[in-house]
Amino acid sequence: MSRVHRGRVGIACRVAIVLGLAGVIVFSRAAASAAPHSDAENVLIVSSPRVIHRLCLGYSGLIADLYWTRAVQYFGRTHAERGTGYRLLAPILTIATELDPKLTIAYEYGAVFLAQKPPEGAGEPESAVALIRRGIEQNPGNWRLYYTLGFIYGMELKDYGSAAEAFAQGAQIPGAHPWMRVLSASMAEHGGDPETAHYMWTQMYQSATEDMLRNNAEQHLRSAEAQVDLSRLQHMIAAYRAETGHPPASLAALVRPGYLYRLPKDPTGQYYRIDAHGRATVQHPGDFPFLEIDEKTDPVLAMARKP
Amino acid sequence: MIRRVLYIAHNTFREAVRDRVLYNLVIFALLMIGAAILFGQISVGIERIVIINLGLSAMSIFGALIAMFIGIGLVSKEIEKRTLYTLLAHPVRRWEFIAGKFAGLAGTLAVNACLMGMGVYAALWYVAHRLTSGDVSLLGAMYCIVLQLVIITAVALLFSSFASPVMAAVYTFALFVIGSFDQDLHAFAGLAHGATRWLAMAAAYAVPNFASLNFISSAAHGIGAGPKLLALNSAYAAVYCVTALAGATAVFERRNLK
Repeated sequence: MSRVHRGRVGIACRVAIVLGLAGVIVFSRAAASAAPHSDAENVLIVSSPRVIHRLCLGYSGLIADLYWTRAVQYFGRTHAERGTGYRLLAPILTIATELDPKLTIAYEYGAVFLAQKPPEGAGEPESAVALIRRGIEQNPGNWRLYYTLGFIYGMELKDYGSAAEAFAQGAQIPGAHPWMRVLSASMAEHGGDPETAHYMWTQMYQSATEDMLRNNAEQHLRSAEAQVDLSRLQHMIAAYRAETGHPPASLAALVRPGYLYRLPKDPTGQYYRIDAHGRATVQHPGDFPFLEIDEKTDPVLAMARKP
Repeated sequence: MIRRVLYIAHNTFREAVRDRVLYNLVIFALLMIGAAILFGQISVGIERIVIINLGLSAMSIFGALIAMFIGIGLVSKEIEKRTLYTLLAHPVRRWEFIAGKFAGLAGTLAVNACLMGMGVYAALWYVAHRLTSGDVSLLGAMYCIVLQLVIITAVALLFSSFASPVMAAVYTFALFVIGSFDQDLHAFAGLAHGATRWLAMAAAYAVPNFASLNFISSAAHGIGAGPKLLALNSAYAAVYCVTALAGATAVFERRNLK
């Protein structure tokens, strides 16, 4: 066989390899798009943490990391799709933490996202409490887990007594942040106050080490500030309506009689506005996912309900 | 005597390097680089933990595969290539041959693990831009992985002394899996009664206890194995290897090589 012939065969082989790889990608993508929609990503094939632990052959730490990553991806994907069903979040977190009981980040962050109301979370505060209590059992020296427990009791379950107790227990752990005692006292005395909520979210924002949790705390803080502003504006609208007998056409109408000094802006810098029902609201509700309207105490709704 | 063993060990090491065994380090390096970059983007808060878990697991898995597949061929390859006859024609005893082969592969695995360990530390440095005092605990976990690999090598040599290479690989792999469940075997023995209890207990002690040599998860959280535990594990591995090699030598001594 001549050298020229061998060289040609070599070139032909390289071309075939490149074309073959390209073909594999093309056909693989075509087959995937032609196949019926699979829900495989939303299924836990093996749901028992004990069975998975056995199957790991001693590499449970690595598999726990993969399950935690899967939990993050699952939460992120469902949230991006504005989904309300996070039914796999609790089981995935349970598997991750059973495989690696020291994976404190999974207890801490997982519990926060399990507890929050849909669509910002799974709306399962009881599961979140169970998860974080298991984390405390496994990591009794970690004060941040008590902090998260108190947080869920206070902010999601409105159980201020349990929240105060959790903060107090965490404050006794060596190395705990001094504001744990402050939080315990605040919860015991002023559990439901907006100021307490604002203080807690501020602490969460300042102490968060990961962007995901910091962004979440920032959204809560923004929503809490807007809520205080809107509550004040509703009272002004109610007073204007009582004085004039009709609702204001816009917030500018509140400036002229002196209810407002100037047109107020929300924490994102946008002006507040009045909606079709005559209530003050934000320009972009999507920027304030945790904004809550208390229909019982809203003065505008109360006036509208009057005969 | 020691010189002859070391000579065979040195040649076994050179042969393993010539067989491109250390090429697995390239895959390991790619894994580390990929994990360091990827996990920072797709996960939350576990970059450091995943580097340790992945690095040590890869060290253990790659090492176990090398120990199994090179270990089973240590004797059979020499017979197949007829180099064993040349060697045994010299004043080399059969047990020296077994000991030398074992030491050579164990040395290869130790060098491989050392290089991988340096890779893990480099990846940790890349992710966290610093190393902490807790990272010292990794050394204990790495040392125990090397002990695991040394035991697997001894077991592979034992099986290869009487079984075909394929069957020796199957037996070694099976023992590796069973050894990972050794604590369950002990628990089962504790629940059984009568003869079953004694049989289960015997089986639990006969298989290598790989579970007690695994500190990967705890090392990822900065919890190290204490010096006493490391010393006991070293003694366990030494006794297990000597026993397995004695078995391999006993079979090899009786083997008719004509």
